[in-house]
Amino acid sequence: MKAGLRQSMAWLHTWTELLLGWLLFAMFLTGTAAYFNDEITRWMQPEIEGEADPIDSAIGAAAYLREKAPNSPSWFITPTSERQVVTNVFWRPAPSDEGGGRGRSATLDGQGTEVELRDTRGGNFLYRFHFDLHYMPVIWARYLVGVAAMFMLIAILSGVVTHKKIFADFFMLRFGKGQRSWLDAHNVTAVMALPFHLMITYTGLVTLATLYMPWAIAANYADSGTYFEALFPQDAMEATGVAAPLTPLRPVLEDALSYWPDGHLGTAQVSNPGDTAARIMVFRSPGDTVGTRAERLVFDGVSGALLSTPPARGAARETESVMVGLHAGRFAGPALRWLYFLSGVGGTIMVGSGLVLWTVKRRQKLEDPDRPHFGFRLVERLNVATVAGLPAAVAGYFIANWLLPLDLEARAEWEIHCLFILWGASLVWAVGRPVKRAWVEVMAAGACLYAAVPLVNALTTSRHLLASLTKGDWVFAGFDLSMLFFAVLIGLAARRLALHRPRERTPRVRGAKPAEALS
Amino acid sequence: MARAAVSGRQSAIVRWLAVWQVILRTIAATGGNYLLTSLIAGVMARLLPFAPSEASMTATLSCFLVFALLAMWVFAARSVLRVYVLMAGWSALLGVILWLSLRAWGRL
Amino acid sequence: MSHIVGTILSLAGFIALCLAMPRHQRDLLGRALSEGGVCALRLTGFCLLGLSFLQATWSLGWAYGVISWLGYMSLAAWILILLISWRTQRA
Repeated sequence: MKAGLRQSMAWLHTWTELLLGWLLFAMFLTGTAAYFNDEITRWMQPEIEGEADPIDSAIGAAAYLREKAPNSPSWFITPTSERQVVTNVFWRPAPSDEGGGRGRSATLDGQGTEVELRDTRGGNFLYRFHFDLHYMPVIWARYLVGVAAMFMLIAILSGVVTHKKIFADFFMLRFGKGQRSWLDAHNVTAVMALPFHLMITYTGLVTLATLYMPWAIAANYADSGTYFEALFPQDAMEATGVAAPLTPLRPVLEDALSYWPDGHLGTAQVSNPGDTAARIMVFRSPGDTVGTRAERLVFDGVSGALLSTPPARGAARETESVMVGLHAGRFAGPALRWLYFLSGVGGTIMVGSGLVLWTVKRRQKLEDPDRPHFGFRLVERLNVATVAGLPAAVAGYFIANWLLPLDLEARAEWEIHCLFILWGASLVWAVGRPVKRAWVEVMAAGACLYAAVPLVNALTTSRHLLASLTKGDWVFAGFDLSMLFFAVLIGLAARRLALHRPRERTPRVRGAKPAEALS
Repeated sequence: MARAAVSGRQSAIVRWLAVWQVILRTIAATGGNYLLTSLIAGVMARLLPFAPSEASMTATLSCFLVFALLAMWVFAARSVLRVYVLMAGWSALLGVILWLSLRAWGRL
Repeated sequence: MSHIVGTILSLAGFIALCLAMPRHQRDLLGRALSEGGVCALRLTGFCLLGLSFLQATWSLGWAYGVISWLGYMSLAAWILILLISWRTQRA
């Protein structure tokens, strides 16, 4: 059966792609959206706008925490930044507090007052779905995602071996030519962003590497805690129980910023506030450097003196930090972020067109193309639900954010339920309709949903497209315009598909020529 | 007529063999591959001349490439038997090296 | 600014590489180029891509430069593909 390397690789490529293609498509789609994680969250919480100085907002947050959680063992303050207009605080309650050890969090404005925002997971849901999925234990999801990513890596490498004419087919996109168009779309998106796909897949595996391959650590360390302590020393101290006032934050934060010329403030962690053993750890903003394990300065929480500066990193550790950073793209400025996004869209199209290609190729080889067997039909329907249905469901998630009543119980969860209800509905629709009609109809519905997003925004808030354009609010304007762009894109694709008439294929009826069969 | 029946049976056997080929190769490319890759990563972490944390990190970072290349080899190799023999042989060798190294120097 | 320069350099490089292929010569130019012309185009194409790489790493630093360069190539390829399919559709 193995006629040669190329053939066996082609086989491997086709089947790895199919088996986890649907999951990969969902991962690519949500991961791509997650490059605008912060912006999506801002759009989904229209109550708050304006800018605040990071240092001021951190100081305000500390004041809030001093009142709210004076006995907490640690506070985490993520102040406002170029991309974020709110301050997020998180704290571990003191062991004596009611409710026990679960951490609490709050969203504050630039002055440190808690703000009433609608209950939503925002862009963070898409970001977490990218590797944690939903409705299932996180650990299982991460293994599943890891398997899919590994398949993707194998599919890419075997794809390179398969496509001998890879560079001859470069730049070849022939629309409206049936199978050729799908193959072209798949090849072109795959080849032109090949370095990106390899990078994103490999670095994605690296982000959860110690989960998938703990054995290299186990070979050297009896307890993996020792390893992590060696890599990320904690520097927190046991509380002494002797009270001492926390040093003012401003000099500490200004000190930290002067340590990083043109750097920005990331998260600040305060351990044992109000104790003589207090420590303030200031992290550099992940937007400053490619490496994601941000540099950290440790200050004494009582005297405010700088205790330790970031230790020099080994080459392997630095490589890992850069790899994870490249995957998450947090360092990217607006232009580069859009390039990331475009490459991600390309990757999503690559996986989607690969899935469609699988059925298009096989349909012609079927005994009776008009009545395919069960497995084929299943693949076909799942393709419709995933490739056309999931993007539509994401638009539904955005719309749900505007339309669900603000006082709804577990509102954030319901937004997510809406996404999955829509996704499920697209599957039901795909099963119940002739497959080509299903493609057109689900895509048309998707286009309408995307077009509806800015419309619903205009109807329910004062931050509609015209207002944000005249105000120069590029987060809101950009979001609405992107939604319109996707509406047009999906709409055009649906129209193309609806108008497409396949060339008359000669039916494969044994023993009878087509002309005879007709006459 | 008789010849057709024989060739029909032959093609059934060929198909059956092909299915088994795929199943055996899939097992080798997943389970066997994971075992071998883990051993390679473990031995790398022990033997690379860096600090232990750096060596562990290097091994962890590179193991995905190892896994992908091994999986491709499993499907490209001429015979299934060859795949299994080589995989078992290398796993045994690396296992012994790892075991000796752990016995001699222990872990942190 | 350096993003724009980088993208234009990549785009020019891809156009040269694309024109070095017989099929695209037929579609876009209507005639085949000589052996020497093809060779020169291919060389120019790779040089321009290299130049875009150098420009990116020189002006943005090593890490940012490499990742930006990958982005330029993606963007340039998108633009070129749309250009070509638009041209050939009309033709």
